Amino acid sequence: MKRTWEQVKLTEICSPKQWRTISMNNLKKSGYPVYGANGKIGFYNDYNHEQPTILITCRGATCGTINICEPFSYVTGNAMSLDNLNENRVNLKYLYYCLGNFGLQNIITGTAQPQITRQSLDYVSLPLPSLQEQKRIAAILDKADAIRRKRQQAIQLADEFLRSVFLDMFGDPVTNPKGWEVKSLGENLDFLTSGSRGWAKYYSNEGEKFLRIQNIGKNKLFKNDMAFVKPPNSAEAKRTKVKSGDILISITADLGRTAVVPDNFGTAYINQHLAIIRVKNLNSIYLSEYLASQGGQVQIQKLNRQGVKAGLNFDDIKSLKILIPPLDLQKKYEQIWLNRYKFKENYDQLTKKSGEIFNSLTQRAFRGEL
Amino acid sequence: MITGELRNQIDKLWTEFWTGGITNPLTVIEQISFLMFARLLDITETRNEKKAERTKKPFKKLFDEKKQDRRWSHFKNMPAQEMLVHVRDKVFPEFKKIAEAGVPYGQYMKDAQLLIQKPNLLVSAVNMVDDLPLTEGDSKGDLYEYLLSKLTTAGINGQFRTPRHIIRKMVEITDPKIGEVVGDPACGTGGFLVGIMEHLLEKNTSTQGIIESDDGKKTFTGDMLKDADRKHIRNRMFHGFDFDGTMLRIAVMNLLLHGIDAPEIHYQDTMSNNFTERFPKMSEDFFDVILANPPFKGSLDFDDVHPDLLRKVKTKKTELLFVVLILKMMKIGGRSATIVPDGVLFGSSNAHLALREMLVDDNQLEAVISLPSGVFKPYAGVSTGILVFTKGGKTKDVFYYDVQADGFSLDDKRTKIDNDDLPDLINRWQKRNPKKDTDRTGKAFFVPADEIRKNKYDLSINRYKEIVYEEDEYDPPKEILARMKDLEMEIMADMDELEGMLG
Repeated sequence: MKRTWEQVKLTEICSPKQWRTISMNNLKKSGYPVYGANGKIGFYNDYNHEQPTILITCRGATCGTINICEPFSYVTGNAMSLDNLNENRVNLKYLYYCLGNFGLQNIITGTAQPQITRQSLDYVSLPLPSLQEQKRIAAILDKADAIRRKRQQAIQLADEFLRSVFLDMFGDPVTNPKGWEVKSLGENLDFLTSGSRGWAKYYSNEGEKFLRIQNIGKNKLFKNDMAFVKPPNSAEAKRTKVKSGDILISITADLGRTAVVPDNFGTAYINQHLAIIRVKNLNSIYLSEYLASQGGQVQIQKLNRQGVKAGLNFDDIKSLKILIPPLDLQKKYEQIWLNRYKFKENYDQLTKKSGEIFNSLTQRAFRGEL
Repeated sequence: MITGELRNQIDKLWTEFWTGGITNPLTVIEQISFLMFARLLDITETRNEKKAERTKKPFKKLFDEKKQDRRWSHFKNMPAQEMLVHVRDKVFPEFKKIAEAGVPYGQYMKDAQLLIQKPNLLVSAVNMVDDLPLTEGDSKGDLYEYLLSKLTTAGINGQFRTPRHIIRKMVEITDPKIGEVVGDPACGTGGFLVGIMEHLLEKNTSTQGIIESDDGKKTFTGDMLKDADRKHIRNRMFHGFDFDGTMLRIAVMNLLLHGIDAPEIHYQDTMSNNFTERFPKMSEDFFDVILANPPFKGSLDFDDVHPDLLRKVKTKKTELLFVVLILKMMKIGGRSATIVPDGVLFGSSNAHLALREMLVDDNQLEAVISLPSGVFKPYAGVSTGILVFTKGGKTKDVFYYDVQADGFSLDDKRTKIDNDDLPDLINRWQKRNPKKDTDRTGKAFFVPADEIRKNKYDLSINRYKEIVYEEDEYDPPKEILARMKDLEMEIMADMDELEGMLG
């Protein structure tokens, strides 16, 4: 840190205060926004802050998180609001990034219920360069933050795009406006099996991939949080090994998540919460997206056996009604999907990078190296 | 009416039992029941004595001259240590003799054992029981129900107390009437029978007969019941079976305090071979109404199960066998509302199918009421439904109702909430009409039996309920693509700007 930068106690430049908490029952549907422990929780007919103010979450699991409230909002006692900020000395945005950078983890007290108290804030001090320098730092970090956010938005848009193309090409799966032929999944089924039970004993730190419910989503395969097994040489292992083009579907608990096994995925097995659907005369990507769509999900939820735990059996899966558009149209969708998918991988990379840029800039800014 | 003060007293006694080393709530209730029984004997005796004095007619004494010290009024004021020894060694053994002498409810008390070992605890318990308004007609039952509400752990065989508000709705749906015979093949604490009794009183009370207490709770005196009706209620109407001795004692005490002083409550495994031998009449074509929440996971002595039941449905699952048993016990035209776990409604084993076929094809399945899975918390989170059926005939249309809230939160706390489908359930049931109730997106609708047959007799509500479908809405792909391009450009510009700022 530059030696010329003054170290100032937080309580010298503002007065932290916990305002009165209002009961959840008194929240309204509209009005002034109410800030709880971590962000907006509803609306109320009164406000206690006219100006944007920095809020520190002071109770619960998210203790230490920093937010800024909108003008005219009600801040409850679950967040410490840094009132009467001395704006001749400190810039709000600078303080926001600065607190975020140094973190407040070391002043959290309480074991069962973490908390930050007014007293413990006495121990927080911050580097304070000239107001002009503060504004410069805040502007740079704001920009880097905006890039980071827009990257995340871009990913959401890419997902939305794929769904939109699907609806555009095939129409809504339930109302079937394009009048495609409807068949049950059983008629186009080549192979259907559920995963292995009791493979915990084969878990290992390396080996073959073992796919679990958290690895699949809405026609999406997640490769982080992967488990590995050293599989036995058994009929069960042969049966539950995936092939490229297989559609995976969750059949217990959170029903109807789907994913397609991509080319060159390598050897992988499924556990008992998943099933493999291998189809004929039907495109896997099309089917997986179909099942992930609103219309597919409605069908699956209807079949849900509401026992102690939700579940689907093979008859249920076979009975799913599928719209059968011409194969070349399905293929066309697959191509767009694969194309976007490649894009998305790039996107993920870029998003990660934009996060890194932000972190790097923050670190340097408060070291005085910017 | 059970007042706040009385409630506090019971709560206090409860903690005293805990600190006195008796922590099983069933045991606590049993011990309190024994003491109540001791006091009731004394009350009966005193009443008879007074009557004899007036009429100058002799009566059969429960306590003979030499044993007057066994009476409640005698020992209740003894010093603590002395009282403990006296009650343990003299009073409780006396119950056996009295039982043999033929007090109607005596037989259940004959194995009574005093488990209280701290003299002070006994004194507290005796004092509390002495304060209980056992002589006042209508409040005794409420009081005992309050005690029972403290049963919050399930028994070894998976017995748990059916929530009273669910019981009341099952009673209202089957609507038992005076003159009919009602039963429960696995009665536990007798909740269903008490529910029926309360229903009868409510139906047979004039406006003048309703006593309203300060906190607005109504007590129904049943002033329109004729003497013959009362006699029927007391002696012939109610039947319950269970094979847990403690439960039986509690059930008898519960019914007794609700004004049924000679109920037919029997120690009997109704699933067993000897049910037909010991109770040939009651085990077949006997009941007008059966209400039950039979055990779902209870262990079963398979070799002892009556072959008649297995012939129809070969299984070890008690929840299936009990439905068969209930059908057997009822008269043609007899009505039942029975709680079953959801598996009964859709299970795919041969036994499951056979049972459902029997319900739909050889009897009249009237309704399937789906309950939310938190109804039996904190005992169990199991998902259940109520089957309503009539013995004999053939099913035409089945009434479905999807209960999503029962007026209590569906977590372990079960705190009272405003959301309650049960009043609407009764309303829709009473106004049901297969021609009009066809909207399958609503809470109540009819499903024709043929459709159920086509679906492999699957009775689960999800098979027939329709979810209101909302179409997915997205902007056209080209618009999204344009937005993506714009966003990319913005990001590029942002990055250039950032570069400039860094100088």
